[in-house]
Amino acid sequence: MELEYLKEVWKEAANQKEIIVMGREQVLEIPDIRSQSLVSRMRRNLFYELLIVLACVTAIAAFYFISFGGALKEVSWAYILLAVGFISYYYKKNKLLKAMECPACRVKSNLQLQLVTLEKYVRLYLIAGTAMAPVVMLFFYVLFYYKHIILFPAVHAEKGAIGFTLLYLLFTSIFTIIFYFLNRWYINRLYGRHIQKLKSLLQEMEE
Amino acid sequence: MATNHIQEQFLELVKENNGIIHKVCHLYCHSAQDRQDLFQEILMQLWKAFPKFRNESKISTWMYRIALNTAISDFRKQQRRISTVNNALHESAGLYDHNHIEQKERLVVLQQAVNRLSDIEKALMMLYLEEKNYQEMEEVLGINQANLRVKMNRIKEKLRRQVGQV
Repeated sequence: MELEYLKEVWKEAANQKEIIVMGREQVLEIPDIRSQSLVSRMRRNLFYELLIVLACVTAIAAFYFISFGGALKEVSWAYILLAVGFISYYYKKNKLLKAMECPACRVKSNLQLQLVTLEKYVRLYLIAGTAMAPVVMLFFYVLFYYKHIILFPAVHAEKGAIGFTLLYLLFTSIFTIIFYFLNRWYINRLYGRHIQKLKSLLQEMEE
Repeated sequence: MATNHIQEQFLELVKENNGIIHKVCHLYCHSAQDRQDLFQEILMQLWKAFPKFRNESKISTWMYRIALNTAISDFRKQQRRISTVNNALHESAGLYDHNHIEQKERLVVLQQAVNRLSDIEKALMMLYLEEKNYQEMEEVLGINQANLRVKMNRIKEKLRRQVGQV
């Protein structure tokens, strides 16, 4: 019987294989080392993303508050609003990432948990990412139209307020649809393979 | 002070049970560097989970769960990781002298067969080689015992078929 033979070999080999040397100091340093697990890296990247967004928003908001004699301070407020939205988005994503793994659970439960949470995470990513398009378009609409800085003066003169708004809505819809597909492609590129791997592992465990 | 006490307890735990981590690293990683990385990652996960360990399961069961969860669910190096009971087996192959050439050849065939197993099958096979019973395997993997028996039979059949083909 092959497996019985393998068992004997395994026992013998267990005493022969290389031992990774870990001294007392190295083990005690473990809490200070950065984990390279998927979830830990995702949490770190998310945090860096937050820092970058906040730094950019602060700089842009300060610029519009100070420049043009304060005529465009609405832009600053819009950016601050965007930052508040991003903080809540960060909070939700971080909460999902924290709940994503349970290494001390049974392997199957851990994989199920990871799959369900990752799918939620991806859905949030897709919804928030897609919603960004109309929000940004609305922001520019308010900025360009009501501040009388006419982006399309010819169109505005010819079609009037309703015509301009309808045209803008059409353009926003097209932009949102394109943005949705781009987002879906990007998210799938980031997490699609891992989701597939988790699904196939679970399927194998249930077969 | 309390942290120091926990660190000491953790150190003791690692000292007594590091064989489990080594075996998982050898099973799932090909290169020494990968094994070292996975070893460190498993230690980190153990450290994070250690304060919550309540002796509800055996310490070995708890360690197997964490080690296997870390090795299986992390996709960081899935392209580079190659199934390697063969590492351990390859080294053991060197233990046999020229009088055991047939044994050696058989071992190589077994290595190749083991390499073709999936991550889950490898985990199951490792627990089998460690002589864990089905109850313990269920505790670690979360697959019910009836299903485990079926899988174990499939693995045996697979190995037998592959060895027989050569």
